[in-house]
Amino acid sequence: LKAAEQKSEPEGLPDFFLEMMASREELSRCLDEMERHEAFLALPRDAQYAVKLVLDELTSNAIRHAPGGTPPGLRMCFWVRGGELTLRLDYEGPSFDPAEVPEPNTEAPLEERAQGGLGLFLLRNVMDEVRLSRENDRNCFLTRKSLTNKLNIQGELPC
Amino acid sequence: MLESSIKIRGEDAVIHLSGRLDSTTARDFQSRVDEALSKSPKRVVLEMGRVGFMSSAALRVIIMLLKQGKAAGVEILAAQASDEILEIFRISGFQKMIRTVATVDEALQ
Repeated sequence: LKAAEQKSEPEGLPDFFLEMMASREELSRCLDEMERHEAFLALPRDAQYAVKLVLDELTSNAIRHAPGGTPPGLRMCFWVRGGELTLRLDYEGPSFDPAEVPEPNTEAPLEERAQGGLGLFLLRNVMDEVRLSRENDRNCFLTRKSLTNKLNIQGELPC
Repeated sequence: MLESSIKIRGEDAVIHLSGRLDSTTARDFQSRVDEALSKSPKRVVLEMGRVGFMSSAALRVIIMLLKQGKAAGVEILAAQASDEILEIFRISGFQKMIRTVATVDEALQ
């Protein structure tokens, strides 16, 4: 999505990994489990928010575009190395071109605002880099975020 | 996980929200919004002090609420939103469409 230096995934096992059949019920369960995982809890608050946003938005995309409504297989993992969060999420499904997804007009008045189209837009804003590739019939997102707490918020999120 | 309830205060409806406003809970959120609007309030206040996460699925519900509210002359406000929620409102351009206040009491003044 963003032209950026083509970095690969970090070396070694990820700090967090999940695999599921993408459905609303499974997503809810995975979010609950992730919120209790020590690798997730070690992230700054803004990065915790970003990870949940990536998982929620892309799982929604996977469910929405699943052929025949069958829950597609989805995997997500992340690494924290050298002050940077690298998150990979991939799922089975038809290919799509994010460039064809129109950017929402966030300056438009209420009457002209569309209901949808905000998912990828939010993703691009909370992550520093979002790349999409196609691997073995899977859409593979590789995203990065520098671990500086831009909001400078301390403490725990309410949930 | 989302817990929600509605309290009627005078002519206003306050929707108390606690948990995640995401794609798994957007339907429950939508139901609460519909229930609040069905009471023909003067104002609808979203009490968001215990909301730790909000994704685009919740923004879709809020944009419909704002449109329905405007058509019916109902003011929509968000109270006690965290810095993260306010940032999502800012990024998505919602801060120009929904009034955010520090407390429910301030919303109802």
